[in-house]
Amino acid sequence: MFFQSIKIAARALLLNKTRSFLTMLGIIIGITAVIVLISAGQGAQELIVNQVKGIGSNLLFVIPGGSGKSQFSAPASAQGIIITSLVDADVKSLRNKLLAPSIEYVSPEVRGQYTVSYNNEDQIAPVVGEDENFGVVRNINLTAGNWYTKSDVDGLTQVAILGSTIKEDLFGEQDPIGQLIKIKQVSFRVVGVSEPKGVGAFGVDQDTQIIVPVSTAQKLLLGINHYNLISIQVKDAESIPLAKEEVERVLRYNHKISDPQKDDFTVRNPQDALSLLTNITSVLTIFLGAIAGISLLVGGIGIMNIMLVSVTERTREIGLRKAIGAKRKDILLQFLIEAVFLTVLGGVIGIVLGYLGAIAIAIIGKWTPVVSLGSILLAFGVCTLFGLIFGIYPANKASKLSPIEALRYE
Amino acid sequence: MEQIRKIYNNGEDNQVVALRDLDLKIEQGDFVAIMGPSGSGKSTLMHVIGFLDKADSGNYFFEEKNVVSLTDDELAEIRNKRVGFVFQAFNLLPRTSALDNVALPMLYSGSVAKAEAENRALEMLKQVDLESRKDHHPSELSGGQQQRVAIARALVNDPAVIFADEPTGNLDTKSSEEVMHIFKRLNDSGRTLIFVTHEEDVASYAKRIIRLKDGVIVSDEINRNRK
Ligand SMILES: Nc1ncnc2c1ncn2[C@@H]1O[C@H](COP(=O)(O)OP(=O)(O)OP(=O)(O)O)[C@@H](O)[C@H]1O
Ligand SMILES: [Mg+2]
Repeated sequence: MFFQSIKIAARALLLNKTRSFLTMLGIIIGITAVIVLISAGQGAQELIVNQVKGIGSNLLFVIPGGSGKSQFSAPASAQGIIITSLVDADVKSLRNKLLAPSIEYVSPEVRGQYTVSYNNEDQIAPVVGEDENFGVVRNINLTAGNWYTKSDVDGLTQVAILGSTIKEDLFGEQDPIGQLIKIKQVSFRVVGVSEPKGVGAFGVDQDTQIIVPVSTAQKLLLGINHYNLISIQVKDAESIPLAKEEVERVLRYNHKISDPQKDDFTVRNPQDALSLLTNITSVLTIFLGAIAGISLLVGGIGIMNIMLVSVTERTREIGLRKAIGAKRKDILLQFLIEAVFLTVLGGVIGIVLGYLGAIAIAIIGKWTPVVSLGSILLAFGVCTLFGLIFGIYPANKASKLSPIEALRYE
Repeated sequence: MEQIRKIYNNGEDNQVVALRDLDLKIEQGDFVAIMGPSGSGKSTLMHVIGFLDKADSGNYFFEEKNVVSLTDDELAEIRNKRVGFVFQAFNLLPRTSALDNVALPMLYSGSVAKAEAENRALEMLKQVDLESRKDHHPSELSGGQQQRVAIARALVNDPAVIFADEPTGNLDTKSSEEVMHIFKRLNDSGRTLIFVTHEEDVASYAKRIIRLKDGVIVSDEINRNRK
């Protein structure tokens, strides 16, 4: 009996392939749209959250030049003006536990961009001068070799740690450890290769850069005495505000500044910038969610329409089937199976397309695709519900008519 | 075989009394033509005695059972197994082969195996001389051929009675004659046939002619000059 009804329904669906396809299309589009949009929102948010984690939640950056009152306006140094306010004495004071008890590590940094060569391979690469703590502070592990030590930094040793991409560019498969490379015609011995990190939170590709001892970079490459940046690792995230005050107090004392408005440095907490970004993506997710909701509504109304129309236009068919002996439950079962079949098949296609769409968008957006079970269930649930209600409701109405009333239906 | 008395009306503002307390008895094996002017209630009568519609009052006995007390499902069972109906508008399923159209009633008669259903459908198509068209869709058939497919469909469950409401209304003279010949043959083999027509010519095939007017029977006589 049930098997019979499946056969009847399958036959009726095949009878009008276009109508069956159009009905499914509404469901497919509704589900695909919802899954892709929700996934895009979640993917973007996850990307930001990962970057927050990647940067570390207990870092402070000291940048040369004041930035006035506003938290997010650019400090002078970032506008291309050379400011020499951060010097070695500041680093020493910040490392003094008596002056700044909340601070764990202090690592000063300089930056430049130079031609780097090995044998006949030439590359322009960013070169950063860092001290021996940098690997710990920034969580950079080596895949080969070892970090240089404090004595290397103090003794202006000419050693370098390569990012994974630049190592690949210069050496290919060859082992670079112990080899000599030239940076701005100065020889450096390779002592380590860092693990791939990808593009960092501020758009810096850490894999293309070369790390050398900060003092060596200052004296032999840049010929300067100041620093471009001081990174500070604080005991824990809770101590950030306290550490910030300590940094400001120490530097103002060192630089003999009494009015905070006239600071010649800026202390930044990456969390501040990122919490702003997170806010933006939350809004984005809500926005995408709203679009997804509307798609779902439109899809639902589409399904409702096509189901109502297709079942209503088949009232005559229902009349005929009743006239030759179909019982009410035969009719209902036929339309129930048809509706289930269409919504489930459409739903599965929609989920597959939505999944592929989410992956495609993730590739474009460079984040890992997240397709949550929740969004699938929501989309599938709503579409199936609409499909079933509006597939069965008119069929139920038609099945109650006498055969002749249904046959007479225009 | 039957004894009927029924009123049919629509209980609305514009209610029409289509059948006014009508009495009718039709014996098994009879061949009845129902005639009358347009709007006289012929179709309504056919639908009521053909189990397609219910009367609002009165009693209707079919094979000793009072139909008025039957449930919808029991009526569906009778429509499926005991009677066949032929419509003026053919009412075939579109985009479905003649064979499948003829086999359709067997889908609802419980356990008929697919192979047996096809055999029986093909047998019926043979009876109406259409086996060569078994794979054609209704849109590829002439009106007369479509009506013959519809007759084959009505016959497929071997009914005792066949109802036909203006079966020749949409057909030309030649097709009409073909249809009436089939009906005559069916009646000769013992089936009861009841049909509605406007044409005296078509009615003359019947053994008995009933004339309706405004929902009442105005005449009921044996056809003396039968074709
Ligand atoms: N569904 C309906 N609703 C309201 N009135 C109806 C309905 N069906 C039929 N009638 C009315 O009942 C009366 C009988 O109609 P019926 O269709 O039985 O006539 P008929 O004799 O078959 O006419 P025709 O020869 O034109 O087919 C008519 O007055 C018609 O208007
Ligand atoms: Mg009529």
